[in-house]
Amino acid sequence: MAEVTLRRAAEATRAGRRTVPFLPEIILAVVGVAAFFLFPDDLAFLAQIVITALFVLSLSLVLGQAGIPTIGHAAYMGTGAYVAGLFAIHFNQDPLLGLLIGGLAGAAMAAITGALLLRTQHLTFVMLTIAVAQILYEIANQASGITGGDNGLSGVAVNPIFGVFQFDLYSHTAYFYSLVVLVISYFLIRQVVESPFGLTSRGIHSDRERMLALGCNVYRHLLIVFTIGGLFAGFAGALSAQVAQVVGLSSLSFSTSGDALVMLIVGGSARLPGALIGTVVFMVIQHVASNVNPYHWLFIIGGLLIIAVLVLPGGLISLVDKPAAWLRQRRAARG
Amino acid sequence: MAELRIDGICKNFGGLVVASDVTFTLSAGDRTALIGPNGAGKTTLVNLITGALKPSSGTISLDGKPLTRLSQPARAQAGIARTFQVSRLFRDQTVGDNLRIAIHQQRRQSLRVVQPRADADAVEAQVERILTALRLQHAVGREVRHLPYGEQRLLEIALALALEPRVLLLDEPAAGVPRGESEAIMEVVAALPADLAVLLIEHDMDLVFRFARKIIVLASGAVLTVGTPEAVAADGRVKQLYFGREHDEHRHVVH
Repeated sequence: MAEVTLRRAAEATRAGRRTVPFLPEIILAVVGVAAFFLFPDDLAFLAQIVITALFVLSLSLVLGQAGIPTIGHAAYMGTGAYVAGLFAIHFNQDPLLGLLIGGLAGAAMAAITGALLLRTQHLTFVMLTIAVAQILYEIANQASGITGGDNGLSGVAVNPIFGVFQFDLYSHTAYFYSLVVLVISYFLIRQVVESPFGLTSRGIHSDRERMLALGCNVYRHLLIVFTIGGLFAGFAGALSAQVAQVVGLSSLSFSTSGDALVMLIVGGSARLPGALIGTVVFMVIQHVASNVNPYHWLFIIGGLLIIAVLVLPGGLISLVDKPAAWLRQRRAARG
Repeated sequence: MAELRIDGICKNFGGLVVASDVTFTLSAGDRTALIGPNGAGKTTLVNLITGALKPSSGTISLDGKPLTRLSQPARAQAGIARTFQVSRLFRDQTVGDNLRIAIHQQRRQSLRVVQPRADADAVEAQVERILTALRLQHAVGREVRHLPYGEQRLLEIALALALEPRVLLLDEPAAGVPRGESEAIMEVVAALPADLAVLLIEHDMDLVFRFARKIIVLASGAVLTVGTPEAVAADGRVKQLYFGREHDEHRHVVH
């Protein structure tokens, strides 16, 4: 009897959770298309939001899910951006191939550096992530013959997507290209998060020692998470190179890593939508406030961060989650 | 037949000796208790067996295969499971997810990003089986941090059992649990699979004598004596060890 009830309850949750397949991706696509019609004059900025959202999403997997405390995540976006940019300039102008190459470059860089970094923990790890990003930044800065150094890598031009969709002055193509990549990436990352792999990652985040006692090869697991994070950060970098047609040193900078961290915490790191919400809120405030007062807009971001940490420790996403949980409970109480 | 052999294990932190030439074996079906005063090195011994600590000297083997050089996860995979004296659970996850994490480890599925339906169902069946055995079915969807402490202690055992171990090291499974609830925990301990080798660390002598067929007494990191519960109960040195201790504690209370 009890077993039957239990199985029914499990099935109900499973069914309840998945009544509409791809629901998060559908919402994301609808919001993205709506934004296209609502703000037709700001598409370049919107594309920037979408690309940053992908970067923050990759950080959400690494930091929010697996609890890897990196503040040098820009290293992998920057790697993806430079490699995709150089690839387009010197080898091949196909955008999708360039995107793939950029992602793989981010993943490879994350795997190589992660293999070393993840042998450490806590503050040592945090410091080393900054160091790695700074070293890459300096390399890009010094090797100006290849990277353009301080002036940035300019002249990144790619062919039309599928030979049809030309990158235009109004950023129509750039925006939809970025949005499609974000939606597909979101789906893939969500698969990872909802899988046994993702559950294990949260277990490591929660109690590393216990995972070791359960037989988990924690180092290997975290290295794979870190590499997947590098892959999607690399995609974000490649997108930015192709869309902006230029790669700046800032793509590797500490403030890029730091901003992403703030966006993730403001939005909420425990669940993936938090990364998207945080990115949109941060960048819109940055955009609007810096137009109003270019010197003091950081006050608003700082205040927002304080509110997020003190009042909403779960981030803005908990504004949605808490009423939802309350509703679920009420419905359950009514039977 | 599982046989865990601990042979001449020593461990010291600088000048502090926490394990000194400890030797014993634990075979399939054994119900052995490890007792001794606070600081005798009982938990240290568990940490040495599971690989959380490396011994200064001595060897540990399972079925003749040396474990001493194996990492902690490799030893768990070889079949050695433990519980923790202070619960180490995934507090923000549900009871079901806690078990799923352990079961994915046991089935070597923790790296899967795509889980076939059949395997997912098998995992769910296993979750159900374990929770039913421990009478925790009602809590499957609850987050662990909202669980009463007695049920957290049961889940602590459940996680170890989910590994389908051959050797189970229980580090004070009833620690911190009120008497009435410790009964439920000891019932679970009494109902453990017959062929499992079990080592129980416990302070409550009632529980120890109900459970154990063999008792190892540890004092200052060394084995003081090994014997049947009757022999240990009659042993003058053991009485002295505990009497002296209780006497000290009593004095502390008075002052």
